[in-house]
Amino acid sequence: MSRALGIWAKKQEIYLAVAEDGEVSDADPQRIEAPSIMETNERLGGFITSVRHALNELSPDEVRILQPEQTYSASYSEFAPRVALETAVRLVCEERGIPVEVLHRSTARSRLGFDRRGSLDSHIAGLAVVGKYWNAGRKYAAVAALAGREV
Amino acid sequence: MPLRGEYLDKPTYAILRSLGGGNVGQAWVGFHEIFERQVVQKRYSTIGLEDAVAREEPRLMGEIEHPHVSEILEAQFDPEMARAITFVMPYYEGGSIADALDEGYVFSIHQALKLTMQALDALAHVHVHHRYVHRDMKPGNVFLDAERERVYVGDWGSAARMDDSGRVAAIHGTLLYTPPEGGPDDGAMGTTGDVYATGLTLYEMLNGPFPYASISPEDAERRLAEGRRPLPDSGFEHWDPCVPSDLRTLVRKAIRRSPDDRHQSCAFFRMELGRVRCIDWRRVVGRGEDLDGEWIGGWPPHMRDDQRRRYRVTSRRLQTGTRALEAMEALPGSAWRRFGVPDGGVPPDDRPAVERFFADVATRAAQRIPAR
Repeated sequence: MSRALGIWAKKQEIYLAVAEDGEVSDADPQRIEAPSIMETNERLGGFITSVRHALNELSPDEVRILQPEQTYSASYSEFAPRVALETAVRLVCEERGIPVEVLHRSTARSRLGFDRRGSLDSHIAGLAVVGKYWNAGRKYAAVAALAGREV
Repeated sequence: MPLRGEYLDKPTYAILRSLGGGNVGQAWVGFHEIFERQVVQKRYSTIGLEDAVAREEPRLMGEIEHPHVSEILEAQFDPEMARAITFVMPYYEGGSIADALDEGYVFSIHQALKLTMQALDALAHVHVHHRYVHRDMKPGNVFLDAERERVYVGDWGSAARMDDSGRVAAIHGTLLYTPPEGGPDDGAMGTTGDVYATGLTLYEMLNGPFPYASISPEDAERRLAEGRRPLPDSGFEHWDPCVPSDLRTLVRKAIRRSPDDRHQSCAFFRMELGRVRCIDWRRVVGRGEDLDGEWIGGWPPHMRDDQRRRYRVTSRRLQTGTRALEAMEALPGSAWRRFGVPDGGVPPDDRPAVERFFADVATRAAQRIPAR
């Protein structure tokens, strides 16, 4: 079984969860922020460095980034930084040769056998809470980590 | 094709000055006539060393590719000194952090944090990808560019490869920066030893250099041999009053006596430092823990320096026996104006009151423009 890293991005930070053999672990780091002491333009570079270190620490075989819900709407100033962080993760994975999948929520639900009815949150409520920042958003990273392709 | 002999009428290097040396090595500043850049030539004796060990430093530097590790330009067996190796590195115009501290240069808080994060990035890279521990991190081994905005971790001569458990034998390098676990004769250390030394380097960037003249080497050595920090705990608590409490907590964690209580990797230490949110204070009058002084800082951090609001705090002892604290604010391109209510009735040695004043200024600045 491969070691999968799930990612859930917000405007200023990403949450990370590792899953191996169908179990989510509390491996650190579980959250990466764009360094707050840096100017806006420097921050992306600082964030990319942090992602590199995180991949060193977590050594995933694959990375899955969970997309927001289809009805997600936000202003440009909210949306653009989030996409930038997701893109930065994808670039670092590309640099390391780690396969990345950007995962649609419906795909994640289907792979995890969640019923089509009910919100994703209602299904996540059935998962065991592991590690930190669960309700801040890491639960979505855990979903991404668990939702591997069936082989 | 190998490089052939030197063309004596047009030597590649001009030696400009000596940087001095010790029993095993010497260094010179030179000028590379073709690259048209200043360089440092470092020569060291390999007598008594096995070949693999003798070539360790230039070989390791040649292997590491990282923007914050001092690069190596060339290495050769020295033609003038038996069993010596000379290698060539860039000359860093900003000197080392130790040089900067010695000349009285004051780092701003953000500058100190960013430089430390760069050094930690370099160390984390070497720990993970090369499995080496530096073992001699200190202000004198971290070099700066001319603007003192970028660091280059150098002097890898004491670095050692970790065993399978991630440990190396400790060396008694520079007394003050040797981690406690490296003090006993059979001491060993892991990457958290580099966390410790980098934490001390940051401590000095924030507060000024340790009072070396008043430190007893005998006491420090005795303490280290007992597996303790070389200075009593009070020796690591001389904070500049502008340093915010959350940053102090991170530095204290990095320099804890027990390696298990420190940040468990340079990468984690770096990430934690990146979370600090504070006004970018730089002290312009006074030094270190002295409560008399003047500080100027910029806020918020996400804006360019020339777009930030400026804050100025002055703290001075009055003839009446009390301490006066005053804060000013200036918008970009505007004059200073009073910021909040000055406090003229603080007891002269009331350090917590001065530190609270800085915290209040930071809180009110963040209320005006929240950090993003």
